[in-house]
Amino acid sequence: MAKKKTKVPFLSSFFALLTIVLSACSPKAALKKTNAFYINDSAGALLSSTRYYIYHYSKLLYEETNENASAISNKTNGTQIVVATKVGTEGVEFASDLLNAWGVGKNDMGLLLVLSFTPEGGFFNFNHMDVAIGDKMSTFLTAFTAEGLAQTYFDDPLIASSNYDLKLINYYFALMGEILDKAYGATSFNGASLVENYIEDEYEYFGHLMPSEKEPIAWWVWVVAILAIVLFGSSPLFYRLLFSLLGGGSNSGGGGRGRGYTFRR
Amino acid sequence: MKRVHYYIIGFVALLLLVVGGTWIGAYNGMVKRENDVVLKKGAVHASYVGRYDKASAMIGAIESANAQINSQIEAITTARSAFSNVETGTVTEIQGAADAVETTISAFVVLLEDNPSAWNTVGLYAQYMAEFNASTNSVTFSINAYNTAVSAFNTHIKLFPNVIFLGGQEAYTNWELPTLSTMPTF
Repeated sequence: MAKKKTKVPFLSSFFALLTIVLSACSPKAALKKTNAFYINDSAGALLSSTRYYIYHYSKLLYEETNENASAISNKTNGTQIVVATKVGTEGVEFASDLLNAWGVGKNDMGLLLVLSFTPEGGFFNFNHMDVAIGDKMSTFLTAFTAEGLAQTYFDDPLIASSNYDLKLINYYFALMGEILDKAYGATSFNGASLVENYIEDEYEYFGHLMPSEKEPIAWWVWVVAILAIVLFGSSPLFYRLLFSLLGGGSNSGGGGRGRGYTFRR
Repeated sequence: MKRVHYYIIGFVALLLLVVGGTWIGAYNGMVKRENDVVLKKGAVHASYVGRYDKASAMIGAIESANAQINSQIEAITTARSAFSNVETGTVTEIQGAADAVETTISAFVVLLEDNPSAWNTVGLYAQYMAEFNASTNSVTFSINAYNTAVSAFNTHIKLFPNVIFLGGQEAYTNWELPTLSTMPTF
């Protein structure tokens, strides 16, 4: 009996280790969604404030539009705006594939902005932005309108050309206002005041208010973890490893799809 | 019945089970893939419909911008004409006519500043190209998805042993990607 007891911590540690190793070995997509979901700054090019504003307001937008009664009856509830950054020169289909892989937007009411950068001497040079529009979202926000808004707000001559964070936020809130107006008839949204708030907060640190931008745990990791808890849950070491692995927010895609309606600028 | 008969019956039953199972698998697999082809064909059609619907909306937006420009030009022309007619009028009349011209010109400037994307031809061109590219990408995306489904179907019916059971099935033809010469124009 005594011999059997000593095996328990060993086996639970083995399971935890196996979970970590398998998790690390799982096949990786070009860009995986994170626990923060609405923002994935894989290039590391954005300010903390930019990441937080996008995360916070996209989450709020989803929650508000998801509970909109008339939108529920029209099946247009659950708008999600997601922003990702990357280093690389993939084609425009990268954004379309990402929108579908992440399932941005409930009822196909998703919008994904992918900004591409080239790092150079500690700075980032902006290459281009791909705008992928979900299938139903495209009936409210066309590429024609999205490009027009980009000319007005992303290319705003009053914003320094090197300040991509402010350009992005300016464009982001313009898109949000357009969607709220056209899809939900909400004309009271004041994006300009939110941009002013952002300008005040631009160089503040908001990292502590956001969930981790690490990749979420795969489903099978949960299965192994639960199995291990059931079988060998008495090991303190196992719990320590488990809690270091798990965590993060509950943000995820609404299962939205796009049909490649994407443009680059 | 002799033992050998049981062996034969067992063997035939097993053979029938294997053949039947393979047949069912081949047929069901074909139906599944054929449904996918039909679904993707619908998606290609929907992408084209979306392209043309958005083209109409885009033309509407351009016409709306044109109408606004025309109304502004008309307002300025009228005010200028009124100004030239007060040449012999009083100072107050001349000042009033000048104010009218200034107001229309200022209104035009404000409109241009507030809506730069809708009021300059470069902006409209870029918007047009964004719409053209996005809807072209959408059509291409749907055609590629259709061709992938067609390829899966055609491969399935030609694979052994499926070919034995599904030999009579016709292969689908791939959807040719439109070239620039055949690309619809707005």
